[in-house]
Amino acid sequence: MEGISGSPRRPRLVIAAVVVQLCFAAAGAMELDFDHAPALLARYGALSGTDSAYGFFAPSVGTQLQVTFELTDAAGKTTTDILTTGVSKEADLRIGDMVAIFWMDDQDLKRSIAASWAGRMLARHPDAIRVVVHLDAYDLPTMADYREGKRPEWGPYYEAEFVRRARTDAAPEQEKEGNR
Amino acid sequence: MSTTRDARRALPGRRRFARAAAAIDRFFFAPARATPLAALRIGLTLVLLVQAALIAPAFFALYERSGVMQGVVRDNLARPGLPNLGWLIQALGKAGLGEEVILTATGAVYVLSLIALLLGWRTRIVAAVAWLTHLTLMMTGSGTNYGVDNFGNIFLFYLIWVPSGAALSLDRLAGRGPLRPTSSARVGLRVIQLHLCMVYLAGGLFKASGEQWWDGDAIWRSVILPEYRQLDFCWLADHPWVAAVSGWVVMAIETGYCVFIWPRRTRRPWILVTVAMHLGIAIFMGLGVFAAIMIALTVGAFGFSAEPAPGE
Repeated sequence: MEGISGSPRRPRLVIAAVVVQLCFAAAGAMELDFDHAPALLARYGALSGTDSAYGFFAPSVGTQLQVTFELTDAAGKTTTDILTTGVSKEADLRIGDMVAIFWMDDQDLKRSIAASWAGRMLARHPDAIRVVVHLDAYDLPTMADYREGKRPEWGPYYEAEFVRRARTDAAPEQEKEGNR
Repeated sequence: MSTTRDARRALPGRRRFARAAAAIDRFFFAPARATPLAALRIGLTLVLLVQAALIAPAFFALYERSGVMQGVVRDNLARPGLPNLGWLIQALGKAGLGEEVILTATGAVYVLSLIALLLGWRTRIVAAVAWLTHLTLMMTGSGTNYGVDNFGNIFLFYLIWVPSGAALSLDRLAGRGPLRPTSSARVGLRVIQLHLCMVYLAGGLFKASGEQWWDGDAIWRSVILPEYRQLDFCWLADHPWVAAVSGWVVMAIETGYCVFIWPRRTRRPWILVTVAMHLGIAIFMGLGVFAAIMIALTVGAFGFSAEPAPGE
């Protein structure tokens, strides 16, 4: 079978699949919002990965958050712990991505994640009765400010305190939390 | 008389259209060797296997329901309708299978499917298994994913559909699949190549839309932030032009990719500068796995000839 100018006819299904896939890839590249697309399109975008955005470190490079935990036992002794695993940069990058969720404005989500971490810390430190989750933001001066003598420093960003309800209760109880 | 004249006038237009259609047809469907697809398959799976090895010691901390991101929060972040280990744990839990067994089995299936894909054994089937397990882990670890995971998802998905097992594979040795160049190899390669061009173009244009990439501040921040800091780059503050020029070079490489990767004369230099840029990201920002996957994709898609040998 011949098409235009002697070219063989191509299966229409293949051509349709190519056009659809490239349109999805272009939509992802343009950072179109797949979350509000019809369910079928959103599902295909997620399955094929075409809903990914590619603006890495763009249009600007933000700053960084770090999380630390201050744990206190019944005798009032305080220790600190961190979330990163230290096993590999690759594993800790993932922890860093999780911590970066705190840049979002969703206070309920922040509270849930902080409680989740607190639960893990209380499980890791069975003697602790109280844990304070500290998130600090890295304040990095511009090159011009750096030349003027300003130096990078960590500043408080978010804090939440949890106490253990009972020795047998794994879920921590939230006492107070807030953005700084 | 006038009808004949109109027909004559229309002829060059029709010829041009026919020529363009034929060129598009050749671009997408001229028979091609599967070598570039096979190289991409091998590069991608090697990077994903290294990534799996680096994550393995923290696997349970990252994915179990009592891990760093606990079950309830994870369920809230999960995207509805997409595969999630939470489903499996719930379903198989009733059959008496514990979370640890399910996680271990999923991790093992993922790694084994990647090894089979690397070797090109039952390539499309194992690509589907690798893609599905990779996607399941991604959706389970929602909130912990980054660029490497997205590219893994995209290109494992492609490997289900393109004939990457038609070269450099056990399938080829076993005589499975086409031995001659095929149109399906060409169309698969073209879609992958065009997708990569969109990736780099979007990256370059989004960077160019921000002031930080023009004045060098983005480069400064990228190498100074503790998460990425590998060496002491504080000296950049005294030589801001170095950071600014580096930012311009990155934007030029990324936006120029979709143009200069195609002509034969500029393809190799552009592959080299792209690889050099990613090596820079690996060395100066510590993003080794991200750099490796991008290098594997560019070298696989553009670094090997797909043109059939004479007589093939």
